Amino acid sequence: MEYIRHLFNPILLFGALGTMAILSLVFKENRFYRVFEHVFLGLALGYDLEFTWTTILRPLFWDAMVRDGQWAWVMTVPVGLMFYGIYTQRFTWMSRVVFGIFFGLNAGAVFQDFAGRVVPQVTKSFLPSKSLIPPPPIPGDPHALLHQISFVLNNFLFLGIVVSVLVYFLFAFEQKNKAVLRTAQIGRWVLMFAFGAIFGSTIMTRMALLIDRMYFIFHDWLRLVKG
Amino acid sequence: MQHASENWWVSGLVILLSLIIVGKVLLAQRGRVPFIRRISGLNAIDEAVGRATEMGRPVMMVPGISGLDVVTLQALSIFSYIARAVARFGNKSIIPTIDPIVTGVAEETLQDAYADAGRPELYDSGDVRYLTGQQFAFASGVAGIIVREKVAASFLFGAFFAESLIFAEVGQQVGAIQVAGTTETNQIPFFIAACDYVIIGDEFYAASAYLSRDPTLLGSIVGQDYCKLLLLAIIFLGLIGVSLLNVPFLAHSSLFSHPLHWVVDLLKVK
Repeated sequence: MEYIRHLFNPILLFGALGTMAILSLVFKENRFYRVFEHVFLGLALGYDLEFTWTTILRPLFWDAMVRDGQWAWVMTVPVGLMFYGIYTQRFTWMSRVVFGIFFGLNAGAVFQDFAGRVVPQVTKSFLPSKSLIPPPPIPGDPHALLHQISFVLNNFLFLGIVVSVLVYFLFAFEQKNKAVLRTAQIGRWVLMFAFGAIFGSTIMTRMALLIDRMYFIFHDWLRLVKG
Repeated sequence: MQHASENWWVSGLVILLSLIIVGKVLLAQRGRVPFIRRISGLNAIDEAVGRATEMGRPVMMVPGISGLDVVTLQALSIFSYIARAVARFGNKSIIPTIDPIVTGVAEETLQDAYADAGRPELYDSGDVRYLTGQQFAFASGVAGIIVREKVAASFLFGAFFAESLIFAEVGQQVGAIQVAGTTETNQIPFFIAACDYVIIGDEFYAASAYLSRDPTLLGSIVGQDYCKLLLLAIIFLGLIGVSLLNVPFLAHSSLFSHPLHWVVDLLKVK
């Protein structure tokens, strides 16, 4: 009896049915999936509204005005309303002003992003550890020659990969020259190797997520497995 | 984050690269329109739209799951081209969105594209659908649209994350021809596995220039190519510098080591 009561625990039952409904799409689109898809969308939308109110609108807008007397925030209302201009022919220009400001802000942020993301990658390409000539061997190292060879090979491989991938992403000319074509082909192969590695590791993560859901169904809900 | 102001060399480099791009854009606008090579995945767009029309099923375009940023704008620019092709064929487009602001821009993009193609009457405001702001709820909504509407062509361009495979797999399930492109390196393998055509990395940024043949965009892409070559030259210069420092004769000679150290120190980001 206790087991039956446990199976019909509303929270566990809802979680289990939701999991099975969403996973059922793997076989075929069905009404069970459709119901839970819309429940999921509704819940997410409700969550979004609540999240926006509790983390943005109430503390930064409403409380700032009503509690702290910063009534200047009321000026943001007409700016926000300008977005809705998109729905009328007459006031579309208003929405374009706001969108234009957003575009400008984003375009400006790209420069900072470039300096922060790309330039360190460039400079890290020629750290002393990337030298093409090996450093002097460590005295007493029995495998000094092997270490030096592997150091050089590793760095030449690194340089080759950087050059070939960069050449693959050049668009200003047709890659007809044999040397350029071969380099670009190597770049594509290297990219595919990297994508394969990413694919494998991400699939492992996805399996972990699936196992977590199965654990919920078979352990937490059905109690068919122990541990 | 590394700020440009922390190192004058970085600021100088950003300014130099920007000037190269702006210079190429200005030259292109004055009539010296540059050439960019073929991007094979993009040639499939017209084929996919044509096939969808023959089958009498709609075309779906997903602009990723980020807000209104450069990647999403780029995606919408590609969608503008696709929507014009869809309108010419007299077919229907569906754009599900995760961000309210992107929804507004997508509506305008679609409306303009239909008007440009001379078929403004085909535009339906219900074709751009804001679903929710939550990643996996959005994924389930898009999956539902794909199977219910039986989309015949699916275009996934923008910033995608863990939901990428859900979209691509469900599209595959209904037999849609799929073209995808993203700048998110971790998601490209999933698109390669499940989509018919994938444009990778920088090809995504070159896509709208390739499709529109707009001199400004073409100039920008070619300018970026020059920037890549310049960065490659800097990498070579730095590598030669750090390599020569490992040559005992040069490392201990003040004539060589001082300038070499100066070059290596100059290029290093603090």
